[in-house]
Amino acid sequence: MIIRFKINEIECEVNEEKEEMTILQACTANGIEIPRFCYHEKLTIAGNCRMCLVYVTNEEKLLAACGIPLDENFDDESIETEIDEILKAREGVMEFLLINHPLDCPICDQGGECDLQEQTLAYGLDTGRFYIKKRAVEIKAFGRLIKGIMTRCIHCTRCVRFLTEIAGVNELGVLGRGYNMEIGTYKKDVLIESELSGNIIDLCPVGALTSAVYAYKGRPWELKNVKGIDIFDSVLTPINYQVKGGEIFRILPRINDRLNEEWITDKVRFHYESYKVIEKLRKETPSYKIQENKYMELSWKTALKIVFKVLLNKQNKVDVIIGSKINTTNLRIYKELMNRLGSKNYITENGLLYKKFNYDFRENYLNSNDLYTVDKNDLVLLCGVNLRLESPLLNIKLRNINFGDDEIETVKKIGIIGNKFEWKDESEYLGSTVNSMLKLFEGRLQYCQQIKKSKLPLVIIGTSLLTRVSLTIQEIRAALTKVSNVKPENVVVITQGANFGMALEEGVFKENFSKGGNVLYSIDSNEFKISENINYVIYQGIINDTFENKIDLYLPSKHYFEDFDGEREVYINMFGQRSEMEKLKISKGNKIKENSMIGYIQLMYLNNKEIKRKEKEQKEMEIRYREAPERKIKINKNITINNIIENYYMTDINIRLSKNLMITGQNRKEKKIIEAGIWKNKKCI
Amino acid sequence: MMNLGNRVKSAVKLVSTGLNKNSQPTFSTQVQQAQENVRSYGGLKDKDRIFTNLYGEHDVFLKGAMARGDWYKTKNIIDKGKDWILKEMMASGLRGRGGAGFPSGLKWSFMPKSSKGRPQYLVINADEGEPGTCKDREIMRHDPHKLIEGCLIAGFAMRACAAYIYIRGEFHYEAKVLEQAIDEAYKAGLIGENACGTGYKFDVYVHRGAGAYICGEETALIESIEGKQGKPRLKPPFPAMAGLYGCPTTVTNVETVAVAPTILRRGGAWFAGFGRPKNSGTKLYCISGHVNNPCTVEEEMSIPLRELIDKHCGGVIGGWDNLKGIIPGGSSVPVLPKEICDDVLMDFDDLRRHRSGLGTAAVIVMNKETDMIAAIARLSKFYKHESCGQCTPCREGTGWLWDITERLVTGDAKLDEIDMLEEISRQIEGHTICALGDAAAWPVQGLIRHFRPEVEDRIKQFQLNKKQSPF
Repeated sequence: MIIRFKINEIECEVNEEKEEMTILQACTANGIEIPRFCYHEKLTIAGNCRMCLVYVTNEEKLLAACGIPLDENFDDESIETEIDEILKAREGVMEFLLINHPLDCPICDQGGECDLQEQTLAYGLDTGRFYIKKRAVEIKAFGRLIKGIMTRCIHCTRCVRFLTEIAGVNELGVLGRGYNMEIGTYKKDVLIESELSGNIIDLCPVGALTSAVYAYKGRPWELKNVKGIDIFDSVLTPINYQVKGGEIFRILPRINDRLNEEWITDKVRFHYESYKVIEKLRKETPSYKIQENKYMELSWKTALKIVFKVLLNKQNKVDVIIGSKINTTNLRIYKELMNRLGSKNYITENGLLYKKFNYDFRENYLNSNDLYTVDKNDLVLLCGVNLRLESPLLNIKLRNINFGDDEIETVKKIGIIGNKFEWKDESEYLGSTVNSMLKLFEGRLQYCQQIKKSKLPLVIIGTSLLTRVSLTIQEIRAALTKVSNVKPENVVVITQGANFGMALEEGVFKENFSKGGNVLYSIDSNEFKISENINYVIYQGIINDTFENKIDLYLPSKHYFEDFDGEREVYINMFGQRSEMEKLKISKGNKIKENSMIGYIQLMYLNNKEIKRKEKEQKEMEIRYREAPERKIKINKNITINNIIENYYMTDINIRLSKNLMITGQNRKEKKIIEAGIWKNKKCI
Repeated sequence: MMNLGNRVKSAVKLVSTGLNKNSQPTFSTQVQQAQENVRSYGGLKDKDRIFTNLYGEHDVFLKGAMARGDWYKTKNIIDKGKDWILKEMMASGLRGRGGAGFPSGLKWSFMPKSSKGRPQYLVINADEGEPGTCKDREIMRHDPHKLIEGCLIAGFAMRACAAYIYIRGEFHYEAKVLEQAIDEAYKAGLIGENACGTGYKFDVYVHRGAGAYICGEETALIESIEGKQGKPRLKPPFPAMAGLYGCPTTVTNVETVAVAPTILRRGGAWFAGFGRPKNSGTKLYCISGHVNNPCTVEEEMSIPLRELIDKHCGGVIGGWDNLKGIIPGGSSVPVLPKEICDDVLMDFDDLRRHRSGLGTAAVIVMNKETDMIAAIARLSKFYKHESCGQCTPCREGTGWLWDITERLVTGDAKLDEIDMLEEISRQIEGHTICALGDAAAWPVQGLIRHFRPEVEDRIKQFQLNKKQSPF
């Protein structure tokens, strides 16, 4: 039925059958602002701050707008949000919130973006009348990343709700009751073991939970937003770099309801520390190894001459490996360069992982299903993927599927093949070897019955599986559709590496790549081991920690976000969606060159004429699901599908160089009781 | 047994006091009252008592209970059907005995008729923590079978598959008695599979609390049974839609359920015959404080407060004129001064008229020895300690109230702080998730409303003797 009601004399309508709306949502939709602290769109409703009280005719008490759904009882009623009674109630709540708040706003990192400050300005009293002793709560250590000055806490429990409901860890909770209520970990000095823990910093409406890395560094009104992309996994979460004076101060999420909602991973939130370290460590000029541990500085001219000498020498067999973060411009340039050189041995860093990868078909590396409608799936099968580590943001999407409570069934709706990892209670573990995967294809597992019964199953296939089985996704899809009613678009492959999709679109991938060459030309790529055959290494990139003095020629280049023509660069994620990033300049050394520039110079040297910059037309990615060509496959059945990611906090050079992330990773690995972060020694607390 | 003896004695006294009282009113009111006061209330006869073993004189367990008429033809009641039970309960006019006074028949009928395969639950609130209240304890330790039979009938009427009795942690002995009684009932086939031979399956479980006052709030109680922190839930959804384990649930007080079988045996009309309209029935009153004989007694609703105290408790210590104030319904209702206590009737509506409430009918009598401010300060401390801390006004406000009232005891405050105190209590009242905020605010409001001169005197005295503290 259509409910008609009035809010502050504005006539409103809500169709009850179409949408479920609370009073607060209806007010916001009609442009009436209702103050709130505990309410957050993405979290469950707690209704405990009592800031959003409204008056409804024929109701005895004031109602909390955030928690009252508009139903037939509201027909013909009128809701008042600006009457004296409400203003008085808001004043009362504000006063109560402030009496035990330390009011240390001058030194609070939340200053300028604090809900409590803003709402006190708008709804609070002008004077205080509380002059007795304030309650104080001790500072709590939540690890190296999050600073917990819990005296400032207003007990809205957003952080608790986020961690328990969305991130799925029960580390934070409410301790004590009444006047002595506190938010904290149940055991003292326990690390919040979540890859998404940083989001509670954004959620906290006051300065109780702030970033320990950003502590006392800047003020929000001084910082400028530059759009960026999270390049540590293939979802490509949109982020904002907050920049002042050519330095990244912090990283915040950009909201994208389809992809990340409002969350980002800890990795990307705190990795910016590394850029400062890189500035200090990196060499600013090309250098050439004379002896072990002894390098000679070169000019760019000589350095590039050496590169050509090596690349054009016909006795050399060159392996070119391109890093995962590299942007689209560079992908194009280096492919062009390799083609002109006649070298066919080039691959992206992530491509090295796969055993068999038919990149001629787009459906082998992109998905048309971006898990936005994951709620409709009634069964999920995870094959060789540790979602929690490989893509924490997709993990929370899956975690929060509600399989419907109408039918009470004991059927486990989630099957896992591969490495065990903590997941919902409803999950069923089907085995860890490739053999159990094959059994599934042949329909010999008991679980197959359940897949057959379900109406819209979803299968997620991870890199861990593809690194161990020489099957293409197409073939896996074909096998799965044969034994069950899985639709081909519901077989989702989780790839690794930021621009992997674009690399394959551009064709920077050779299936028969062999690491047999004797020269390695690594373009900003760190995450692999150098094979023994190689006797000459050219590293063109930012900084390297894995090659261990094997580099013979080093060409310093810029970061991926300062390394393209124009103002914007496009990446595509594993769902074929485009994400844009803006140019950001942070490198200080003026002798450092862009990767693209180096590429252009090389191309010009080869052709001695200007290169026309080719831009492919930007069309919508169309993904068609074709049948797989038949071939004979030999598979070793006894391989266990282990995780490709061992330590979440070690996957990239930028993360390894961020001190606080590193320590968090180590602490989590060793299950150490944490020591408080650096900020605890600061005098101003 | 002492109580009984006293009751006889005070019955004699009653005649004289009752007469005195009626001889006072003026002519105009007399005409009005002539219609209303066709009968005076009080003086419940022994044959009309529901709790016949309130003082534990007889056998507590099944044999004794059956001798007192419990479990008598329970099958017949159940065979009459759910609608009949609900109709009778509505006719009886029984209002919830836990404090809020919501009509019970109506409440029981809120349970959904078809539950789509989900179980429905009856939860008995035996977390009797309200200071001054001791009625449910008496029922559970001396008449447990009344409660268990009530569970079965109420559970049947609301299509529940099981009853959870959430008993207060401190009631160790009572829980033991109750568990023994439940065992007996199971063995006798009165509950369990095929309860009372009706083919209806009904289980009764005892769940022991851990002694938090807030767990007496219905949704906090449900959370507590589920094993979570006892913190009230935001409503809606109401428990009748999504309660215990997300299933439809009704939470009722022990007394409400325990009187149900007797009402159904004797008919709703019989029960409605007691007390004023809309306040019908008999009720357990727990009288404590400065009376000669504190007791729990079953009496008719709408009995005059003075009669209740004089008849059953041997009067106020030092005589009625020595009375200072009475809290009529447990610690969470405002205190009434002597002037009002003189002629107030003990029922929901009359106490409401005087801006107090019947609550759990725990009458706390305070004579002139009492330091009223200290008494209220102690109550404020209680609420500060028992607040769950979930929502802002209650968490922050109760502590503040306690601080101010505590200073008022010595007088170490400013005069305008009395107004501030009143305002703070208004800021808490009605703005919280559950009723604990209201309960904390009301005693303080009662103090300021009726005993303001005393508070002001205290402050002035302090300022004369000592220098005001800088804060």
